[in-house]
Amino acid sequence: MTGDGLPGQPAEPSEEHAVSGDPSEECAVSGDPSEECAVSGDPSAGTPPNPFAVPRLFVETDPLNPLRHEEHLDYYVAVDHTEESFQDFQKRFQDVADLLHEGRLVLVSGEKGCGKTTLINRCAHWLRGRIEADRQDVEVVDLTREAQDSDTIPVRRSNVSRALVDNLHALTLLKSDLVYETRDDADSTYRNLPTCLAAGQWLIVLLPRAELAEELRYYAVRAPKRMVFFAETTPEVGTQHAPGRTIRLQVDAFEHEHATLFATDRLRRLPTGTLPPLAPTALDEFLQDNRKTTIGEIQRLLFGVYETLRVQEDRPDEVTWNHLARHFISVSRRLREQP
Amino acid sequence: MDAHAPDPTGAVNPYPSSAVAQIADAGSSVVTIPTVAIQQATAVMDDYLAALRTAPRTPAGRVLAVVGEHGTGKTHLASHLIRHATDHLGGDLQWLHLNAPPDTFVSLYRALADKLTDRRDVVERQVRRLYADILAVEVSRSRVTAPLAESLLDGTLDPVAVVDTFNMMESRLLGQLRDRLREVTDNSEFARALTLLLRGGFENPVWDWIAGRPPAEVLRERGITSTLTATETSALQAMGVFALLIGYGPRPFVLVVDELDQLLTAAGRERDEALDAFKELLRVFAASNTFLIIAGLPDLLETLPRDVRARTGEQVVMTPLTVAEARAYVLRRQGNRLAPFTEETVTQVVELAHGVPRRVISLCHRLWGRSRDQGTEVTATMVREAARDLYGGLRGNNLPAEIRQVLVGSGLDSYVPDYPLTESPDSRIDYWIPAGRDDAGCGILLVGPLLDEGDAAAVVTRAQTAHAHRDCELLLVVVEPVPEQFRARVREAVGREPLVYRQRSFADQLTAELKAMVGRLEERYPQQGPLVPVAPHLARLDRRQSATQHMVGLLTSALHELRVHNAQQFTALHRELHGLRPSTAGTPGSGTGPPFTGLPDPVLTLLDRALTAADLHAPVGALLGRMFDDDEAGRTARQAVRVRIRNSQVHSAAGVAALLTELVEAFGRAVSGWYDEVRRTGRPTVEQWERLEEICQIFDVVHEYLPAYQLRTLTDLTGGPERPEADGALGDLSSRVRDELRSALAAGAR
Repeated sequence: MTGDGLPGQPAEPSEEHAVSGDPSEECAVSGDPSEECAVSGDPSAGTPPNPFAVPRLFVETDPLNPLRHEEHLDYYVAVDHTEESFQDFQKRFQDVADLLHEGRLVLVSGEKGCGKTTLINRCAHWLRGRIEADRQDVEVVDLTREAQDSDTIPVRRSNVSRALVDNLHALTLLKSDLVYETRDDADSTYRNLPTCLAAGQWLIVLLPRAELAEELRYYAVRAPKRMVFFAETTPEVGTQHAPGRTIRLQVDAFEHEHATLFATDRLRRLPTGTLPPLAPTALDEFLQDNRKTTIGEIQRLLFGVYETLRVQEDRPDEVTWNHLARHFISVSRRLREQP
Repeated sequence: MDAHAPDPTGAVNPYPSSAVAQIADAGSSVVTIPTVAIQQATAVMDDYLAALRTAPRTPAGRVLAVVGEHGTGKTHLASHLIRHATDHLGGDLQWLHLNAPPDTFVSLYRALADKLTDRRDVVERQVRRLYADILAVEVSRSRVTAPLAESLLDGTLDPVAVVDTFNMMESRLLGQLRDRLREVTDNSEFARALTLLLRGGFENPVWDWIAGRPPAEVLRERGITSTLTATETSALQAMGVFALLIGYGPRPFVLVVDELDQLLTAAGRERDEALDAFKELLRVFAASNTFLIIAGLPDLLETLPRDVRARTGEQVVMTPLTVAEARAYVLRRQGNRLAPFTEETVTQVVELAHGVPRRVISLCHRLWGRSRDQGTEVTATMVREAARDLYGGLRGNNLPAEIRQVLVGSGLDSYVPDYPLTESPDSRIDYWIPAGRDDAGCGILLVGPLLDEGDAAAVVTRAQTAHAHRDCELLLVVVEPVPEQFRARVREAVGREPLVYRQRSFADQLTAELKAMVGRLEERYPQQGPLVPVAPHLARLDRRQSATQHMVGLLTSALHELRVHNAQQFTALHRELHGLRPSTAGTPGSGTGPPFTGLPDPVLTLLDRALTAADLHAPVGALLGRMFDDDEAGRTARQAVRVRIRNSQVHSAAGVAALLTELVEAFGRAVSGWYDEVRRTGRPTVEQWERLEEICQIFDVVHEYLPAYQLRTLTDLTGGPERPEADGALGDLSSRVRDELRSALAAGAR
């Protein structure tokens, strides 16, 4: 899950592509227990950067997003089956001619923290390039925050439809007002959208997370031509969802070897000796008893541990399971003290 | 139960003024005498607590049935058990108390759901505890995270926050929680719904569903499709779920369902289905970790079929207090002193209260106060007087109104109230229903508590008189159970068991009794057939026999009465007369106390009549009060109110009634003031006569402006007894008052 981006380099956002509707860059509070350490690198003060922080993101443990930051492509690590899933996706969309007749739903299922969003961002980024390679116009519309879990399916559907049309309207991509006038009616939106867009205009739509198969089936059936929906869901629903035109990708929890792979990738980005390395057995201890973990869990853990270490003057030679345990104890103490 | 009233002298009455136990009663002022029932129930509770402590994962559930008459301390016992368990556990007890409605198990479930909705934390804490258990196992798998387990298990660390903060696999963990909830509650819909409580945004739809409303769309989408209150079975299953859920784990849960008998005897239920479900509920409770206390009248167990009764586990029957127990209670309340009571008066209190704790306490409260006021010991006479004051009449209840409603509702609207069979006062029948032929009929005798020999003898005399003069079926309606020593004699004289008034079941029982009585008379007077011609002769023979028996009874009674103290007889007679007096101004209905004192009796009578005609506030208030009763009378009242209360004429009539009442009272006060002044000066002067004239004119002028005829609209609403017509009572009130004053002053001058 990574490449050779340099954490701590000046924050110059890459401007290659904008993603419509994504408010994540403005997000100010992370919900991360280590939020007091939200700025990782401070070279002027001599504090080393946190190797587990995702560059250019305000919340440094958020998923990689090459749609906004091309350099994030270098941060993908081949843990679990994410690489195979990505390759499978590339293969399925090598030829996009079929999309001229009907759209698609790409459904990524997996546990929380397994990298669904990260995979979707990578796939959408690749697909955008693939369509552009055919000299077509393509817009990525991020609607991932446009629905609440506790809303009913009709409400969620309507919210997504309205947000999509509003975005397209703001981008002046609509040739007629037909869909704008009926934008609360999702059926009408997806039926009329192709006629309201320029002939060479394609859309990649990132849907809100969905946990009900019925809702996902709707997008699988309704996806209009020249449009690809991306959605993420739970492992349970991922297996329920009927195959068909839907492209199904799966991410999963993994064992300690993958966790070590990820940690090694991040730590090697710092000059040797900047921060203590992870002891070879540290993650084995964390994942005793064949316990599995996710990329999200490991990243949050190591980010927290190194966030503490990097501001310490007296650092250990290596990070052992004991340091990991201390991190859990210290964060849980803070949790206990919270009202 | 411990509303101690300060004495006028400053001393605090050691007895609670209200001897109705509240389940939340706590504190050192509560006194519990270790009666057999208390000891038995406490032993069951101790057994439950010990079982939970030694093997928290093994179901330790208990079902305890507590039965006893009103006031015998069932709620007090439940309250005692809760206090006992709370003390035992250092406060770590979960408990809920429900009063069973006289309806279905659906209503009972709604009562539980209402309580739980008010205390969502009880359920949510338990769901979180289960989630914490799951998470504790997960973190214990690694020595890196193991230190978190203890904090999760002791509840100091919120599992939801831990999962979120450490970015743990939420779907899998919530899936495990759902499975665990399914195991614990044996209900997959509850498992789904309760799991949703841990996710933001679902609380309101889930709690609405728990409260009994149909599932919201957002829940139906997630496979929660049933409505918990759709049937009695589903409601009982839901109760079982909460027993399993809240009782899960080492923290004890006590659920008290009081007055369950009134639910089980409620009419119109699908009994078999409901009882099967109730049986299942008892099984679920016994298999959970919950301590269920079901309390009710003795009917509670009688109502249940044998197999259901077998599941009620331990049964405790509340018995009357013995003299020794009452004595112990008095000593506890009075700092180990018996005075101002004596051994004899304590014994007398217990006898007159039939050992019913609530009555014993009420009597003690009253007697202690009187003793302090009079500066004397409590005497036998004081005890008797206090008992009469407390139980001495039918005042203050709706009994006559309910009897009338049942009579009308049963089609027996030809009844005659206060029907004298002869000129003797003993022959008065409170409600006489002609039936059959030849002046035969059914009679209802209505009496207050039979406190002594004189009371019992009076009832026997009335019943024998009735049987001597008419072919009749009699029913004795009593407000208190007939004491054991009088029961056989009274039953023999009346001809059937007395009907004890119990608010919630009275209408049904009276209806059944009346049906049986009328049926028996009609059997004796067939409409056709060979017996028709001889039926009157048979009835006469029967009556003659009754008359002979009556004469024998009278002689026996007369001999017996000689042994009874004259004072008691006088008191009984006085009470009867007092009961017969119509309500007057200054009685509790008028609300202002005696407004005009010292006026001549004829004037007072005129003012009383006028006030009774104008004051419809009390009957309307009584109707509105009755509307909230959970019984047939309540339903009738609700119907009456619903139909008529929105009528604007009723609204203006209420205003007219209030103004007329105020006007009459103001007039009465003015007249009273005038009369006082005149009496002080001797004979009235010319100016004083003019002043009286002026007072009367002011009344007449204001009265002219008030449309008294509108009061009929309010009378229709209350459907109350016959009342003096307002026009008649108020029309020439001032002139009649003036005339009576003149007469009184003239008589005084002679």
